[in-house]
Amino acid sequence: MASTKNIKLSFLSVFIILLVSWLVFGTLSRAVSSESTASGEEVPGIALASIQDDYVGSETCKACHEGQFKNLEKTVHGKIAESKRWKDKAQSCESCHGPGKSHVEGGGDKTKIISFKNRTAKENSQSCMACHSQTSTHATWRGSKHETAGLSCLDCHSVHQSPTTKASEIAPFANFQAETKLLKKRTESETCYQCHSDVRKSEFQRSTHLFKTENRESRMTCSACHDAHGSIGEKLMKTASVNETCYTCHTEKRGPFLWEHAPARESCANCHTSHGSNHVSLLKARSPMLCQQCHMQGRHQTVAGKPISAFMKNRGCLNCHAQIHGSNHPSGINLQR
Amino acid sequence: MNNTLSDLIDCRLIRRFGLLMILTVPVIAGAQEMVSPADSSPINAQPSKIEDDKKETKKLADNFKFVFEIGGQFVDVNGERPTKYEEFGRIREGLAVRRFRIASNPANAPSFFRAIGRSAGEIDQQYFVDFGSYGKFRTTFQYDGSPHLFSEGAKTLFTGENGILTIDDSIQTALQGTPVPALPAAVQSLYSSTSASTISLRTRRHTLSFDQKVQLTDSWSLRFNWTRNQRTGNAPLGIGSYERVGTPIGDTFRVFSLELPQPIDYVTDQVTLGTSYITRNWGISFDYIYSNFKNDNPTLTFDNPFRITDLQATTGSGNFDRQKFARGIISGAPGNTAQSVTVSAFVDLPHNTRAAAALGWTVGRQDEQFAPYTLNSAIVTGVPAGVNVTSTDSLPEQSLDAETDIFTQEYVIASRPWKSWAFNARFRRFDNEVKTEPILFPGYAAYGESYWRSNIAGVLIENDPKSFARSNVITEAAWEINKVFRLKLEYGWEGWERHHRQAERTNEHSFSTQLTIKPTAQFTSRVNYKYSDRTPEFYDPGVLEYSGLRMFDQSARKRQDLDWQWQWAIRPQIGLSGTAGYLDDDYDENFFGLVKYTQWYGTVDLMYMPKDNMTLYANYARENYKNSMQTIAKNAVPWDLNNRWNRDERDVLDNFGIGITAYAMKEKLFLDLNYVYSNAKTRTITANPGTPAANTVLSATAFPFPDVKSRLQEFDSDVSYQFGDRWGLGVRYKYQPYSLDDFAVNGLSPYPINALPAEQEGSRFLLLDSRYSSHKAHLLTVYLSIK
Repeated sequence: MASTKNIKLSFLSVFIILLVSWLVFGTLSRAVSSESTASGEEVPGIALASIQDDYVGSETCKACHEGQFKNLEKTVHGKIAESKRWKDKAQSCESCHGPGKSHVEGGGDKTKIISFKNRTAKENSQSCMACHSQTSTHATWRGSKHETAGLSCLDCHSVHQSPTTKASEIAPFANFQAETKLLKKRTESETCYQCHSDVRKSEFQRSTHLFKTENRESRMTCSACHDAHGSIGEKLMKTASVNETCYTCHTEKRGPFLWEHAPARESCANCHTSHGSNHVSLLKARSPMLCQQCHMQGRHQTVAGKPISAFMKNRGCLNCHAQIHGSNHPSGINLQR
Repeated sequence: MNNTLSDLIDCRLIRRFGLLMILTVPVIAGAQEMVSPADSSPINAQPSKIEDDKKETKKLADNFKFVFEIGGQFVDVNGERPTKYEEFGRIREGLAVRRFRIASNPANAPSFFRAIGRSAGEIDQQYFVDFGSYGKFRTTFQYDGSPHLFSEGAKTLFTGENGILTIDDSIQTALQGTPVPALPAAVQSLYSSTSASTISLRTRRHTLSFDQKVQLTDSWSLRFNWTRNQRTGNAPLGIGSYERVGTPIGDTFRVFSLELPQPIDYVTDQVTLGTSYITRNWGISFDYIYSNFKNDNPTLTFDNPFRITDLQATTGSGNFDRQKFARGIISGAPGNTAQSVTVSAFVDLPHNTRAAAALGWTVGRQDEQFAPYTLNSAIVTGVPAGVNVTSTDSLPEQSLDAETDIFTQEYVIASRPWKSWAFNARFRRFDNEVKTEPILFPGYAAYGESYWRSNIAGVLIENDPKSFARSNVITEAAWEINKVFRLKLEYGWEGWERHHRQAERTNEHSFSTQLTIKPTAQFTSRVNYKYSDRTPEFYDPGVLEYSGLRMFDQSARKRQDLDWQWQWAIRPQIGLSGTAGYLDDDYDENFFGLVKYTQWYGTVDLMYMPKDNMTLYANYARENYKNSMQTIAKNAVPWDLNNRWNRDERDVLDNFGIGITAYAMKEKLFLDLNYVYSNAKTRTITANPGTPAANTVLSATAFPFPDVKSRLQEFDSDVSYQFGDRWGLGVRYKYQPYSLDDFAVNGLSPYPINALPAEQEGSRFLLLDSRYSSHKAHLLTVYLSIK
């Protein structure tokens, strides 16, 4: 461990380096960015607002694409143009699809409008980032796990309208979180299960974090712990460590305690699995089997078998060592009080 | 709870919150001026701006839509202990406002409003109010009541409140005077008398939050969040010890175990303040979080049902005749605070490169008053002069005065210098530095609070500051070979530094590769493979465990991790996808402890949309994981290698789901059917590699274990019909059979004398019988929806 002084110094030095980098390279990068746009990289929308003459307006689009228009107009993408701040910047449909003049004049020539179906993930995300890069929630997207895996925004989001938004007109109690995020699927968890379908089974395990509402939606959403757009933690955890994330709700485990159970302090995931488990309390294995992976104290009759042993009944080791996450009792060195 | 905020989320108020929401939300919404704080100053307000805002508010008000669902519910649940059915909710019969939604989302205005409520008036009710104006601000209120029911029908002899649990003196007197052989009958008669009460073990988590986001300029935003998390109720808590009893084949062990209904009264307040200034080329964010956890029951004092008077363990060694206290005291979770500051920034550099950094500093403190060593005043042998074991005045410190500083650092370089190449380098460090001063205690009350012990195997009673730091480096390169193939290579390093643990330093190197194949727009396959090798620089087993033991979180490990994801849109209407994975952790088999962990899984998902208004889906998942450990039983000759025993614990899970969602008759008829089958089995196999020493209580002879099985099925159907524009009628039926076969809780009772072997007669077991068993539940709801 570094000393506090060193850490603080490193904090300060890194901050200064960052500040200098920002000052020095900020101007440079703006110039580079302009060059890359000018050199032909497709970044439609506000980046191309200078060629106003090529825009035809969303009413023109509506004439042929009424269905999509109706879907879009009630989403943030359809409504943002009504905002004073965005009125002069957003071009409605053409914000993403680029200027439509050639497309219209070509009688709907599909080659003369930006279509997202055949573009690469990087190109698709670039279009979204033209606006969304200026939000704090998306600032960590570049270099994030999902970005480097080759995913694009459109793998999870539906720009025109999410099925949830459509369903809200019919079934108004669909997931309200998913509704505002324009997710591709009806719920947030179903969106994540597109790739992480191995997690779905956790909803029905003996102990689970993914317990559900009467709508069969997980009451705890994936985004309660993870940030799909990138984060400072591993596995896209919202915080810097597994434990910091768990302490968000389980503050009583945060301590610090007089007597710490070191593996619990280092990572809750040493003993618990986060989504669902066949065992109680989301344990990776049942007690005492789990405890025996690290403890071989000979004075406990948990030996090779005897399932009817008192040490096997009920909560096993935790019948006595109930303060397994840490004890603040002067006589609690064995995590019993 | 003494403060007004706590009163705000008082249960009774919350139960009425639903009705209040229904009555007040439209009024609030109508009155809400949709202006951002930045624009609200009368000095800045221009006439045209005010006019625009009025127009926007009018648009919002003109577009309100209301939906209410009122339903009657009928429940039929069979089963000895059907607690599982209501583990995270409340299903009861009667009339209720099931759900409501009040929303306005005009197409020609940037503003929106939505208020949604579920299970109004129930203990699992939820409310959500969200309004704002895109590009300006967003305000969100949320309340969520999440119960957690551990058990209905638990039995206890204890009564009490405010962290003190008592048992009638006459019971303690009677049991103290009862000879051990007669205890089972005596206790059983108590449970069948009026002395025992039946209770529900349940906690409730109330989460109330307010979230405000304001976009001041294109680049500058502010955010504020306040969240109160309150948990109340009671939960089972074990307290116990074991006693050595001499027998002709050696000392046997008799367990004393009590289970208490621990009162829970936790409150956590968290405030977050943040701001970001982000341009297209650089950005900086600042966040401050203050979190305060308060426990209204920092200690739990309880009576020992078997003792009315204190007594010290009867032999000089303290090895026999334990748990002789009349009253005991346990420390609950200590109140604590955490404050953190995080600064993160990024800057775009030449060559399409971004540099980003995030630095965080969290200070956690805890200073809860210590409890005394024990309440057993009879403990005198070995107690140092001047130490009064029942008084906090004799403690070397009155509280821990703990401080933990956590420094987090992350630096990222993400570069896309060429169109088809991406390079990323990332460094993370999580430094958990315990700054608490160690406290050396003269000893502690051991052996079931019946004896003074000044050391454990020669180790003094002193808390160790268990600081640790974890560092990661990840470098990766991704190459889009062409539109079909994408390859990613990664090298990673992870290092741990630990104080006061067995391995002070470990290093893990990993190599991984990912291949993405997208031959057509309809098919994607992504395969990941990772190999990693972890080695401790030095492992000191210490004196408290066998020298041949290696703890799995610090020991040498070779890991192979393979997973595959694929998605195939066979037709626009048919989607098929799946995953498969295999994980293998190999630990050093020359040592004891966990030696191998393997996991594999496979899933398949199918979705078919024959029409725009109909979706059929099915999914299947199978998961299999296995822990293999080898260990050794301590015998008369400590750590006799003949006493080795190995154990495999294997879990298998099958999960199958199928369903249909459909709209018909011009979207007037809605149908939602879903069926899920989930079956889990745990098999434990124990074996002796050699011939264990026989005829001792601690013989390592392997015994067979029964399988543990659980199975959940759920059929859920919801059919509704819309009559005209305003009225709808729906019927929902849910059937849920659940079965559980677990030897740890089968036959469990408050006094499980008959479930224990003779040498562990269990004469002083008092459990709460907190458990759930198999059940079959039917739920029928008829509801009316009004728009």
